[in-house]
Amino acid sequence: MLDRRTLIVATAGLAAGCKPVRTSLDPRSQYFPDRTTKTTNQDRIRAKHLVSRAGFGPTPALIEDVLSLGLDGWIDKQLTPPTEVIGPASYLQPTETTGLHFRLNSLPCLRPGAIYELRDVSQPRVLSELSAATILRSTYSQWQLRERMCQFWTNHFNIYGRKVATARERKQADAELLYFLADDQRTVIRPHALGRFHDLIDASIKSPAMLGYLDNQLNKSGNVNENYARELLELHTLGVDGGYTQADVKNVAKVLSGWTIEDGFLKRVGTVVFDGKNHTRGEKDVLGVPINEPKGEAERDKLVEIVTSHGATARFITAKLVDFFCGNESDTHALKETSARVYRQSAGAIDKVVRHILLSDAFYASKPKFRQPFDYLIACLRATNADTSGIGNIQYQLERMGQPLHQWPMPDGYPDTTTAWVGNMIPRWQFALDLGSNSIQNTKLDNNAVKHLCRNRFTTASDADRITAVLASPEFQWA
Amino acid sequence: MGLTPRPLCENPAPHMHSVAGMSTLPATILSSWLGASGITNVSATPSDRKLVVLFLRGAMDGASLIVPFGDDEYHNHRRTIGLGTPKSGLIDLDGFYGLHPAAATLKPWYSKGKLAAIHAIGSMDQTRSHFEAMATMERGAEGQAQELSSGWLARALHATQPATPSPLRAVTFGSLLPDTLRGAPSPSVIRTINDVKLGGSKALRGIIKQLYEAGDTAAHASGLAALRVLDAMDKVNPDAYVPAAGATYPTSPTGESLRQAALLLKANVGATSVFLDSTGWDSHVTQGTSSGYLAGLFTDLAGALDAFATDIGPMFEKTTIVVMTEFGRRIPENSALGTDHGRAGAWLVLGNGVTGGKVHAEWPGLKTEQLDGPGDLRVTTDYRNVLLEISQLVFGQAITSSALFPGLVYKPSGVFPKALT
Repeated sequence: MLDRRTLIVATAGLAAGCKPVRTSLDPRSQYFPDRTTKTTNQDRIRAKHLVSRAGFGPTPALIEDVLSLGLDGWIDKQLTPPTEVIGPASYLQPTETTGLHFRLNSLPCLRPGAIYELRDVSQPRVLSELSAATILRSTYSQWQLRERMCQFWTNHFNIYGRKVATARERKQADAELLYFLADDQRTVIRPHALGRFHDLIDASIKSPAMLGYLDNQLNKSGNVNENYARELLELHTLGVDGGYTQADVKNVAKVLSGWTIEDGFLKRVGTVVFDGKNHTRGEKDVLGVPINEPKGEAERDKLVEIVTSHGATARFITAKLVDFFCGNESDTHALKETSARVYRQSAGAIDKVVRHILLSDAFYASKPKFRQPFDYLIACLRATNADTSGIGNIQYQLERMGQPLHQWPMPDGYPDTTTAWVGNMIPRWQFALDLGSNSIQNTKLDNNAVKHLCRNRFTTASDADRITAVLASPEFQWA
Repeated sequence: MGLTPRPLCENPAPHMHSVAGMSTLPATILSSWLGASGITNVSATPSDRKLVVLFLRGAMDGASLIVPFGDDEYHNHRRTIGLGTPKSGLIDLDGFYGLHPAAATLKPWYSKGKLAAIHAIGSMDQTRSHFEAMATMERGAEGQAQELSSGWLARALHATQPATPSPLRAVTFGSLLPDTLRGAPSPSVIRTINDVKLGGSKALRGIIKQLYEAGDTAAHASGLAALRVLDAMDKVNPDAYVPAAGATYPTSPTGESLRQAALLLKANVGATSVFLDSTGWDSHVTQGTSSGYLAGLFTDLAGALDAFATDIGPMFEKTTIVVMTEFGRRIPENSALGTDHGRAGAWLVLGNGVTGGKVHAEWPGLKTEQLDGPGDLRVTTDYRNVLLEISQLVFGQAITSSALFPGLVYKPSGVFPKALT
């Protein structure tokens, strides 16, 4: 028989259901001690819970913001961030603090423009700047919920940025893929992160990055390529248990046949165009609905309508959102049902679904969620009020912890479970040490902000070790 | 996604829930998850046997690695990307199957009887989704056992856990725990051996130890295991490692993984099972013939296996290596000169216990009416039989079929004749 000790070890990857034990280092109780007596402790706990999940980690200012606006007030405000206006003169209007605005403007690859203009820049640099933008926005943006949702959708519509590296000689479109990624972030993910799911799919299906990643430029009449069609149903909309058949996959592929990426001489290279002679004509039955348009390119719009209004999509997308915010180790069965209903009643309004989840009792009752490496890294930067450029070693740290951005090779995106990530503690400790001892190039912690982290029971240790201990603690691994 | 329509269900299958509220589950469910009969049959393992599992992610085209050139239909299905016959450069294995010329470095191991191929092997599950197929295969969750949440190797390790297990007993190179090891006794996830160290003061390590001893979450357990790994690895110097017998690993992720696996196994720090991934096998497009995309991957794979087998020297006789993939690819080529998702594929096994120099297969044939669904090789060998034989060989007879693969009606594969005596 197994004794208790063996069982604990045995379930190392599994026993995530247990509650983290509150020690004196519990980030939720110690980092930001109560300064006011006006709010009840319960309010403060809820506020911390909200900003830990709907954002990338609490700061004293953020907690106060939630307490003054109330949970629903804060959520409503976060769900209506100012539109990011993108133009050639000032590619990102200052809807953010000056500091973040300044940092983002130092990344030229984020500027809009024809995709081919980016091609003068080396691919590693494009990847590095894209990653830096995500690190900076997640750390510093006042619109924390938008960044959370961008993280969710970027992973949902995962595109492997380095497909190019392994496939350079195979086909031109692959070689361009990394350059398309910046465009995908700007035109697919960011503008629709809090909008309608229909519009998100509609943008994604027109994204050269997605089409290139899943080979649709090779999907031609007579010999269809099913790659994108399959993932569109399995991963992007209905979900693997969504009740579609192999025939549906084939027919979706036929609907999408002919959509390709322009790469002709003197053409607008990188734009998605329809090539009618490669489109499969005739009736295609998708999920019981016949599609057959005289103008073949109109079939795509019909497809988007069918898959985004499908009941399985409502269930699959909302369940994934519930797991994203609540973790998959809590009882969220009822919340998933009501969230799917909100999706159906609102014709797939993402903001309404998110609001429903974040105001539910199940959300506040959910068990601690194990932080993925990216979430852990950002939470550490926020807790130490670190000043980072987002470039260089900080990205290497992320890679060492196992989650370099845009580099998950498969279209399903990084997993979101405790099991997947919990077995890899050493690189987290090393990062905590590097940050705590201020030895990360281009990333410096704020000596004032970390004073409270030093107030712990390891009184004989150095300040660096005390900060490291907090960040490396088991409690800090959970949100 | 499967060919068979599934019932619509409100919720993901139970296994997709990870292990919600694991600690509150009734003991009966817990023991069924752990594989009840396996747990009570703990016994000493054949102490010095090792296992290396290399998973080719993305569905390797078995018909291109182990080419059924003796089946005339093969040449009809693969008019552009076919590999011809031994006359046109294919390496003849037995007059019916040929080895891809880019994998030539494996031929000597085959000829010496140390390497075998298994063809038309796969899962009984009809899915052609990578993710579902991998999740099914890594858990061995077929048929009635779909709700199994632990990995097959995790169950094998549990059934034979020694009294004082090394923290490095089960290691995976990468950044994520693969489903194969889900639920294993403190598996170690290592990106590279060079990362398995912690700078800073001795005092800091002591503080971290105190923190992780003070609780019982999954993070605490994993942290304590990590501390034991750090202690074990203090004795190893990866920078000073020189492969034995002139073995030269390809400078590729697969080559590097196997080099580090050899280093770890030879360092004698208690490593028994190593799980490795190789990616890039999803060859929908321009997969090439005797040269080209897949040929590059085969050269790399074969070179890495050859170097590893050479490098570990005498340990090779005690080590079993299995090269697996989630399914094979469609037999007819597609319009992009690649191949789409199929059903059965080909695996390789090397080392201890293998009846080598042979392609083990009950060949299903390639005529249209012999193919499965849209044109796929039919599965005639259930992969679970092979994994069961390997597990028993490496970890001992205490592993029962019902504990490792509930619902399996065991059928000897012929690949490991001594395993079940």
